[in-house]
Amino acid sequence: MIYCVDTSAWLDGWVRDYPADVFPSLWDKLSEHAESGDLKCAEEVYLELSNKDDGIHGWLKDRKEAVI
Amino acid sequence: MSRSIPALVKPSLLIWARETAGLSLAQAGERSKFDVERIAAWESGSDVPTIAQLRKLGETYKRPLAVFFLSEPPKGFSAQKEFRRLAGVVPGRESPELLLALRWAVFRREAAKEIYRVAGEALPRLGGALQPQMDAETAGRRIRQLLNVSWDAQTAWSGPYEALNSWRTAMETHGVLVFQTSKVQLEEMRATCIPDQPLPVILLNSKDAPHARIFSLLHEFAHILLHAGGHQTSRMEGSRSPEEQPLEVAANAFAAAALLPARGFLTEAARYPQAAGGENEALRLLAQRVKASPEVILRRLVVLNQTRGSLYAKKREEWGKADWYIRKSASAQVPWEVRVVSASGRGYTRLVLDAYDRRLISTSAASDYLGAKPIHFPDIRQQTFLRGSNSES
Repeated sequence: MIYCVDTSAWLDGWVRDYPADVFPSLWDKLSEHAESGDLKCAEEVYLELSNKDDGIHGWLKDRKEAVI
Repeated sequence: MSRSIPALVKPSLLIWARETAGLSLAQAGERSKFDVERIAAWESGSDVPTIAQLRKLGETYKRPLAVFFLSEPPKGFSAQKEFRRLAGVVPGRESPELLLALRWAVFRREAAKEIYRVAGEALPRLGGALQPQMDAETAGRRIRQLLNVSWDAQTAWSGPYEALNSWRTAMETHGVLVFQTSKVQLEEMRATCIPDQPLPVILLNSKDAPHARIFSLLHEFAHILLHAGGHQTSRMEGSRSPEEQPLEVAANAFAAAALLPARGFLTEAARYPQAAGGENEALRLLAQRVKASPEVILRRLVVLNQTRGSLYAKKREEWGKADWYIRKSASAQVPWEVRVVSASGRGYTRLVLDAYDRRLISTSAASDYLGAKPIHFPDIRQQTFLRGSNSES
């Protein structure tokens, strides 16, 4: 199963619900999924995130293979 | 990646997006850095842009990429249909900056409605209405009573910005959204409004001096109450109301009477007797005290039979457009949170942040509604509680 995540979910997860400094293991797991190719982010979402939060945009930038 | 993928958009949507942004082909070319011929080819259908080029066009027209993939141009949506007509602006000839400011105001109004909807709360309704034939002093009193602004409070405010913020907050408390734009030329717009209930909107031009904005606020508020009284407000798009001129005259008279109520104002003016003679220094001091511009003060003195109309006309010509009576503060970089609250108002900003805190809206929506990154939310929230006397917001 491949998961394609929308702007709201990325942003709510990163900023409000599961901040990386509080839930590091969750983001490590997501990182593994991004590397294995079953977690994706549409380019339009990636660009939208660049206007909204540098943190999650930077996280995705380091995992560019997830951006489609 | 998407750089060379052709975007299969209908030419009619490209034309619609450019025209509703108020841009000619030449202006679109200048702003997007694309050749005019190339844009014309896309609009004629003889060529298609790539996704990356379409995205750039979207940035130029201030539209999201997705809008270009609609099956046809949206019909019936036009910010100009909502806003009160501006004297001197030919319908259909509005500047791109004004059109964008109108669109933003409509977007924020819809956002506020959506928040009330998801919260399951009733939309606030502004009580009260005015009739153009009313006695101006009575109408002025009604406006002040409705907004609960006392003369003592007005004279005690520390300066024009505290006065502007206080009038603005009083209106927001009664369900009026007050927004500001800083991009539109004053010659084109000082202020306008959406007079319809619920959530009427007043849009101010923050290029204007604070005293002038206070008068504009009250002028637009009077228009909203006249509209509530059953009088048809002329819009930027659509037919012109036969009542346009009488309503404009009434709104001016009501705003002046509300801003400078006869009894309190004349008591104060008596302390600066040279003001009625047109002496600049006396007018400046009186303006500081009552938080109204010398021009409004002198005009009010004429209406209250304290001075001659010819003096008002002479002084008005002498002053021109200069706001000579205000001490200019050193220009400094305006912090982000101040700009956000100044543009959207404390009432709207708190509405969005409260909805965000109550998890009624997503982080992304809150960011869109405020035009701000979530990282700035704490500072923006703090700014909504500051009542700085010299602060723009």
